[in-house]
Amino acid sequence: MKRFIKNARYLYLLIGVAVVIFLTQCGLNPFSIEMAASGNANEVSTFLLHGSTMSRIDNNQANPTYATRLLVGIMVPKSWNAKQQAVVSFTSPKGDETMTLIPDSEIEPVSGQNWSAAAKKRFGIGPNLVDDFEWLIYRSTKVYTFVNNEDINFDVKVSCKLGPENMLVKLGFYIGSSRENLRPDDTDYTKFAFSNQFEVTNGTGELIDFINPQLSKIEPVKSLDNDIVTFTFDSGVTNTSLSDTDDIYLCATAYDAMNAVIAESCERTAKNKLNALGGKKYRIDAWPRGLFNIAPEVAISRIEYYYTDVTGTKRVGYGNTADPFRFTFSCN
Amino acid sequence: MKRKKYIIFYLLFAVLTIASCKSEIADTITDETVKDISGTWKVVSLTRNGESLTQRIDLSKFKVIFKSDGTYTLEDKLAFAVSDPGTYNLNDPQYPYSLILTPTGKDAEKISFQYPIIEGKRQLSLTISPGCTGNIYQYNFVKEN
Repeated sequence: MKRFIKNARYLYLLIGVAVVIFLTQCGLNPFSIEMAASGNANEVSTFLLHGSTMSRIDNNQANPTYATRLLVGIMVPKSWNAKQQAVVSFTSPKGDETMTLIPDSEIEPVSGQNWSAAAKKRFGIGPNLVDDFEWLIYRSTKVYTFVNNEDINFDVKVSCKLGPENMLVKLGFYIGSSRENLRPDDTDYTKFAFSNQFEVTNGTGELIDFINPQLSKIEPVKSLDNDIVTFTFDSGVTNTSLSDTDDIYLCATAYDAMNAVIAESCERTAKNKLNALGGKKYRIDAWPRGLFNIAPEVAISRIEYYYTDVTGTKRVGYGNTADPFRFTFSCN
Repeated sequence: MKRKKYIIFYLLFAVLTIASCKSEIADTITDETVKDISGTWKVVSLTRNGESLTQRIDLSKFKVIFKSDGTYTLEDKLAFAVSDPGTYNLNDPQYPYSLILTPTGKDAEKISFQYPIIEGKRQLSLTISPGCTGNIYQYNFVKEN
């Protein structure tokens, strides 16, 4: 009799574990991304997401179904203007649809922020190192109802005209359920992934590299001479002539729209000294109009700059050469 | 008889108490002060796209002086909505949400304005985009003693 009771306990435990596994397996499977390695600037590129559902619903529930709208998110560079340019649609055995962009005025219920900000907070910018991205979340207009074991495959198609600039990025994608929203603890219905590197070619300007560590960068990427910009020098990327010193100074030249030199700022004083951040990284924040002491009627169109030591003899510029880094002030 | 007197007294006391509260509340609701921002304001914090720049850039010299005659001047220079002196006004004297700065000889700049009390002190909170419109700066000022 005792033995029977002991065995029954194990049986109940086993059934309990099986039920838990059964219920928690409901949701979306991880999706795969199909896309080209590059696309032409100002032309439409297509990105495909191959997803599937795993519908495990307890038929003993009062209403053993799961009804939801499909959510799809994309993270793309702001300069692509994807709010206007992107079209997101999907095909599935339960129906095909072109999805609707959730407007900025709508609040994501869990975070209390709009959907774009909530997605950025939840998913970040992935392996990209420079933040000039936006998350856009699209929603199906119809509600789709699933019953137990209704496992389907579906394909999401994202078409978007690329921006005008040459760049190297990793794009972000999200697929989820409108019933779960962006609940931070949900992993069953919230799937996101970042793509392999994607290059925009045949565009304007020098390549903007978002994914590889840069010897130097300026943020915000889109800024004018009346913004406050941050110069970051990462001496840990490669061995440079400034690797043996923490006393690093910014030396910059300002140009106008006619490509004429307006002013130079190359003082080896506290004004131009970078602050050490640790890990061989250095930073200086500057208001360009103040840095160059520009008259109100003059506009700085672009700058060239390099980093130097206290003596001014060592010089690190683009590609770890003596050539200067270049930055054009623009909001586009 | 004595009991009756007590009841009348308590009723009278209650009526007077309620009546006095009513007039107090009514006075409070209609008594929103006109916002006077005149004085010299210095920057206590600055963010760019939500990232704090307060400890990273010298903010100690930049000041905005609002005079009671409706004019303003700037001390030192920084990435700000205007760079020249001029006139100012609030869009609403009691419930302002915009500060309008009009530099002499130039167009007016409308700035998002808040006037919170933080740690017992009024702060002037201005949200501006002096460069690209996508770059949002929030300046918080306190009045100089």
